Amino acid sequence: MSAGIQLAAGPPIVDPEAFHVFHGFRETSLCLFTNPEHNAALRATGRLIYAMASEGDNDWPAEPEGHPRHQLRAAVADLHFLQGFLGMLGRPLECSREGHEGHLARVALRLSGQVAEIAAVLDGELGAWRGEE
Amino acid sequence: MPSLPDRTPPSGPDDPPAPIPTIDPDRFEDFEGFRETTLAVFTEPGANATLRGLGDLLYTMALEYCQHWPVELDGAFYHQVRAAVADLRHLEGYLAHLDTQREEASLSDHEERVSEVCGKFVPDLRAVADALETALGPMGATR
Repeated sequence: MSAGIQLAAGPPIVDPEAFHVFHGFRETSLCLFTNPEHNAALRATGRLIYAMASEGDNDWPAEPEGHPRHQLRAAVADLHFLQGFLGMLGRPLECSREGHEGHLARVALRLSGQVAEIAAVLDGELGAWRGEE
Repeated sequence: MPSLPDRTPPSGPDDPPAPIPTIDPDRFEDFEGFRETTLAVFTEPGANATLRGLGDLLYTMALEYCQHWPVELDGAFYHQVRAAVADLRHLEGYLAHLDTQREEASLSDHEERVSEVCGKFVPDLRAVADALETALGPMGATR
C-alpha cells in the first residue's frame, strides 16, 4: 500500500484525569505505527483487552501483596521503562547535536534522572516484600 | 466439528501470580508493547506471558515494516519525545488514581502510606512532563 500522501498518526495528548482511556499499549510502541488506521486498530485492541480483563469475574491468581501495592509496582516498572526511554532520547550522539534537537535531547537526559528518583523513592516505599510466606 | 483437545487449566486464585518485572532502564526496549499497568491486571502467568510476547512481536515486526508507513509529521525524534510525554501523562494520572484509593477503597495502614506517597509524586511527574512539553514546543514548530 502506498502511504506517501497519508498523514502520520501522532502521539495523542493524554489528559491524566482520563488516563484509563489509554490503557493497553505504550505510546512509545504505538508511535511506530504511523499509519492512522493501524494505529487506531491497535489502540482499540489494547483498550478492549484491558476492559475485558478488568470487567470479567476471573479466577486468576490473587495479588499476594494486595491490589494497591501490585498496581504501584506496575507503575514503578513503567517509570523505569520511561527512565530508559528518556535516556535513549538523551544519548550522547543526540545531546551533541546543535540546535533544538540537541537541546531537547539534553532536557530528556536530565528528566530521565528525575524519573529515576521518583521511581527509586516509590520502590523504596514498597520494599522488597512481595507477599511470600 | 472436531472437539478441541483437553488443555491445561489456567492458574487459580491460590496459585502464584505473574510477577511484575524489575525493568533495567538500559534494557527498556525489551519491554515495549503493553504497559506494565495493563499487564498487571493479568495475574494468570500464561495470559500475562502471551500478551507480553504479543506486544514484543508486534513491536519487532513494526520496526521492520514501518518504512512503508507515513513519515512522522515533525521527524522521528520529536515524534518519540511526544510519545514519552503521553506516557508520562498516563503515569501521572495512574499515580493520582492510586492516591485517591485511600478514600475509595479499604486499605491497610501500609497501603495508605504508599497511597500518600503516590499522591506526593503526582506534581513531580507532572513537572517532568511539563518540562519536556515546554522544551518540545507546539506541533509544527519543530519542523
